[in-house]
Amino acid sequence: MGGTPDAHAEPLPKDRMLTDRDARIEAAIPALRRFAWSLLRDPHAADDLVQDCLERALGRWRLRRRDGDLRAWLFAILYHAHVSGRRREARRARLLGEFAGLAEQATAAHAPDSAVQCAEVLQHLDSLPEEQRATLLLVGVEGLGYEETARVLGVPVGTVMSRLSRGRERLRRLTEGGGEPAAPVPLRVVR
Amino acid sequence: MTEPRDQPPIGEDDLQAYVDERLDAARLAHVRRYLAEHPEAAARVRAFAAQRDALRSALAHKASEPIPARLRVAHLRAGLRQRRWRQLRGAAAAVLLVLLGAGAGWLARGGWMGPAAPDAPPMAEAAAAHRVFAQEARRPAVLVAADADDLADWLTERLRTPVVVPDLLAAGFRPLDGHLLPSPHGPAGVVMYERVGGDTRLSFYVRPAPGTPAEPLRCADHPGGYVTYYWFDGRLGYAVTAALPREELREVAFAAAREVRAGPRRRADTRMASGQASPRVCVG
Repeated sequence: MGGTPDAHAEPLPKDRMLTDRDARIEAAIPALRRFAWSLLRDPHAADDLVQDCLERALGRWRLRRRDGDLRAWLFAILYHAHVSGRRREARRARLLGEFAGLAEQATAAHAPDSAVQCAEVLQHLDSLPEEQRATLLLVGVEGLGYEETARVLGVPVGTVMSRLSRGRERLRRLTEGGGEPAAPVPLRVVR
Repeated sequence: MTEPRDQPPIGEDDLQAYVDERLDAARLAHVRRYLAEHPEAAARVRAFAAQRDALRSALAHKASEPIPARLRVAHLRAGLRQRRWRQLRGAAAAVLLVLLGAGAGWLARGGWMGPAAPDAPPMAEAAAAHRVFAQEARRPAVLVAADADDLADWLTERLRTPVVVPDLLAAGFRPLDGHLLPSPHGPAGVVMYERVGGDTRLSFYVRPAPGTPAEPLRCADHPGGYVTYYWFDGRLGYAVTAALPREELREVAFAAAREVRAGPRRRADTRMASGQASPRVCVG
């Protein structure tokens, strides 16, 4: 898929568009999975979230802003699905919990990934408030710009900057293993 | 390069943007100069960058994993199409039901008693239902259950008559979910099963059949390699469908018929008594 040269002079435009669209969406899937997994820290739930996101994206492909970045758009859908899914999730967990047979599935899902344990930084990340966590991940790991991140999270850019600053500062203090007070932000005017 | 005095004072956002390498050249030079003069700020910025790198490498494995098949766009698109088709089909079935009802009334008045579609084999709709649900992802189920008894309670309530959902674990199939369908004879239920440790799907279809006399197991082949075993007990019609060889499916169908004949299992009463026997409907 993707890189096949045009053997025919007149390829079916609809097929071509779909293939191109699929390829562009799929190019973003690894990053979406990483982001979902960082938020949920459960491989199954994370892939469920990505699936949810992709289905929504396919369903409203025509509503996408032409000029916008596809990746940012997908991240936004995923994040909103995550936030709006949490209420439903709680209900679902309650419902499913009533079925005895799902107990094994639940324990499997809650077992920590082995890769997590070696990464101390992820443990520290977990202790951040969710919105700081999402901001740090989008900017630092996924490489989104500040404006894109603001659009994904549905907040002003100023909020992204302050979450970034507070989140990083908090993570730094956790990593340096102390209750060391936050370094006062030097705002000296250079003249 | 711009003179330092043309630059606004350094702010926290500059330091963050420095970490993220999002400063333009003029600003970058300005921030560098500032950091050179402020070792404490420089240390913070270094820590932020190290932290970002640590996060990236801790999460890198996730992005380098191969994409699971179920997340392939082509696969998802097919699933969406199917779901849309099913909704359409549901609506069409509802219309059909009304038409059939009207037609039946008209025919009953005329005294015509023949079957509605003489050339379709009996219970052919079971194969149609199987075809739709067997290919569907697990998520949009009407009822997700781990237990045949839960599904039986749910269908009993929906079909307004006692329904037994066979426990086919001994035959190697475990229930996945239940769906409610319209049928010309009233609401019908389909329970999808999945082979334990495999992905063969098998469906158990049940619908009211008050006018049909009891009839032992029979077999029907359907296009696409689907085989249906069906039977009637004078009250309900049943069918077991899968894309399996006849001999193999026959065993499962016999087991299902035996279970159905044996009647409801023990714990049905405790559940009904709890008052909260309401279906657990998963929307979404």
